[in-house]
Amino acid sequence: MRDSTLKRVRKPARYIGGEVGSIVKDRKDVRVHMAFAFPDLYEVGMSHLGLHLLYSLINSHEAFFCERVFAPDKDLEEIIRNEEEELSTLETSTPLRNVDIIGFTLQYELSYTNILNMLDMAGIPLRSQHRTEEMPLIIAGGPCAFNPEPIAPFIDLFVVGDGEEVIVELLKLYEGRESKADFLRKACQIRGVYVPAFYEEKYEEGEFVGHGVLYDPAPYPVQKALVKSLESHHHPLRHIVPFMDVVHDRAFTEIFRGCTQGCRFCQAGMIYRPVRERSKEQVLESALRLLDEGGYEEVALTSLSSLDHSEIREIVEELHESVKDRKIRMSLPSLRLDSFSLDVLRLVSGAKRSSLTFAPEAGTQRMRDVINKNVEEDDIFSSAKALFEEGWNKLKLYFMLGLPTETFEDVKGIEETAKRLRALYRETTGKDRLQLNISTSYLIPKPFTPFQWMAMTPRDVVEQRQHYLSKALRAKQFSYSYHEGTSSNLEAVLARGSRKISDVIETAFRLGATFDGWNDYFRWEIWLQAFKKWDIDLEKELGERSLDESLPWEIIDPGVTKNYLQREYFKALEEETTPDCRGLCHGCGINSQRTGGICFGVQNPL
Amino acid sequence: MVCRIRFRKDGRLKFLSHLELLKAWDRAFRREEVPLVFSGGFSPRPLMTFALPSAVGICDLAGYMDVQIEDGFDISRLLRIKGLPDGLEVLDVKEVDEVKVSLMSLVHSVDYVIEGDMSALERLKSEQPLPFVRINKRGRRHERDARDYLLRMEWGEHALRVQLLAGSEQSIRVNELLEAVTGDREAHVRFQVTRWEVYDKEGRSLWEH
Repeated sequence: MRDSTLKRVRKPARYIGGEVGSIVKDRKDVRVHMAFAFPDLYEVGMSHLGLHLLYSLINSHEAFFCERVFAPDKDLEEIIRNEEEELSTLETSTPLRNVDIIGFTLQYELSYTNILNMLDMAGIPLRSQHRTEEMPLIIAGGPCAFNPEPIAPFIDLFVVGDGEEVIVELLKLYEGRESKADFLRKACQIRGVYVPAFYEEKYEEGEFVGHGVLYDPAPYPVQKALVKSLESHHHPLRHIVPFMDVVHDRAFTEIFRGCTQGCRFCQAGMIYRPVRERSKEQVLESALRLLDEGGYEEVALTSLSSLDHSEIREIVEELHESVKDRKIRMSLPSLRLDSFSLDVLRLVSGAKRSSLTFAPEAGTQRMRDVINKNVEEDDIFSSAKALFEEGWNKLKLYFMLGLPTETFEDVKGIEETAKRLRALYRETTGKDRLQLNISTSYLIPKPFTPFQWMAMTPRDVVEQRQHYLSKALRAKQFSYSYHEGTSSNLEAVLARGSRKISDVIETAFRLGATFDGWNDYFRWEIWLQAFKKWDIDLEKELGERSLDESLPWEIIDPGVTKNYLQREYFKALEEETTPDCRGLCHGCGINSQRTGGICFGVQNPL
Repeated sequence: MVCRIRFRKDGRLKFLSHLELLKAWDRAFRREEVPLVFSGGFSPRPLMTFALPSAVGICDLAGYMDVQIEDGFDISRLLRIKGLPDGLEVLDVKEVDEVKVSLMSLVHSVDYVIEGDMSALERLKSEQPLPFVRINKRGRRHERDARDYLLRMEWGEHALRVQLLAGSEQSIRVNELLEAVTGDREAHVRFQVTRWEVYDKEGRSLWEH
């Protein structure tokens, strides 16, 4: 990128590369040249652990070179569209259209228009069918790949599930290919690879009834890729250290993947099963090397539920010992509200001025049971009391609205929880210094969760409830935040859609939609126009699905069975809970021959 | 002890803002295990001060900073510091007495070298005033004459060296000068500017101080 361009844009540090930890190779010396494309700004993408992991992994192979590209901000986009600059990679400024493979990461559905925008800026046709042999291969992976259908026509190949092993296999296969078509035919045989062109959607009387396989050897359904052990795997000892402030500016080390809690709204907990832990030794080695090589001031241990790691206490103790004299903070996100948390928290740091975050998700025990969030009333208040006694006075609590069977009582429950905590603080400390930050999000019934069949609660209902809470929580100790409901509705349409939604996405993009995940840029009117053009009935898209209808995402097999999801759905309606499966197996399906028979601490395999 | 460092910042890193530069140094020192002295309080920060803030888009050959380091550290190690990103370099180091006067307050004027199309800067050669507008925080406009801040000029065929007032009492930014001379707020985009040296009131390099 030219100096004169960089002088005309805000935050040029986003586009300069050259960070410690970034890798530059000579393109002439490599066999496959790939661009990892994060469809959002640099400061968002650089906070994504997957980027650092895959970047480091791919570059560790001499024959492969992985660079990065992020979505340009609007000022740079204007310069690119005026043909004064090219959308190019960060490390070598290679125009994006000249790399062999572009790999998009699908972290959230509202980034889809950015994918189209980046392809468009690079001069690459949006649809696979229009691309020629010389154009880069477009692949995508990440959690949204579990329902790939809404963007299937734009992507040549999806990686579903754990990316580490599959990506290397794919690159090796690509190296030896005769043509793209030959490559795709061979690639679809790799477990976890979904090539949309080999399948078609079948409709009967306008209703989706499933997929037909067009290329016989292509698997149906497509099983997700599963890395059996994180230990034996490459884990990067260096990250790319950003110059600028990024959303999460710290060293982060994954301590385990998957989750056994079984919260019914949570897609990640379902699709990343089974649990695979990293050993204490590896976690410590990784965290300390990242700190030494990067010079970070903070290290975070990441997973879906930190305290569930079988050695979490030892990990935290030993890490604390190593970093306490170096002015390095430790961060442990995804906490539980119970006594064990407190023991561990005491070790984390003396910085009681920082805020602690918990997610009760629902305001009444009944509702928590429906969603299977295994947190009891007692846990919340006794843990809170202990925290207050130790000096913590800043709490952030996440709740959801639009949960199944939700009534006004449940909404009031959120208000009561907040007020009880305030009273408890006063009682415990004699002071009035509690700062409670309450945040509600609007439930999206996601694919491969027990709630996938339910209708999304209508927006006006949720808005009324948000409105109630913003009045009820007006006090100096409270702050309440929530999002505009329309972007959640859009997210739901994109998450639960079939291939016909791809037309809507393209139209919305052509009408100017980008950065839909950003409040300042999201324009609902554009999407309404796009829905209208394609005769999409929004109520139907957001509405209930019947238990025996075919769902577009069933082209993918996440390991967890439909039967299990349905059982959980019925249990939810009966307000029955399902405990942590580390104690007792509930037969979700992951522990079966198809997934290699591995599962965490299974006592009674079904 | 206080260690004074003269450093270079150029190449792609000329686009780092001041905070980004601070962070880059902080991390480089941590990687090298330099025993920095930290501020107290809830967010301990290394105690680093600079003579001038980093200007985005401008190369700096005369970056000056003071950093507090624990006693007993061999500061010559900083000359051999590994793991600095390309574009940052430690040029010289020395120990200074506990600073009673901050680096920033010593700054009086700065030498810049401006490269690009010299014909666009012809107006500088004449005696004409060079008005420009500064808008203060309250939104009030003040008209100023860039010539009042211009101490010296040296013309080359493709480059111009200027010495500009830069102290806390009176200062002008190089972009303001370029705007005043060309009448174009975006003129800086077309020139390459390098900060060449920083002087105190007596006209000595800050390094001699």
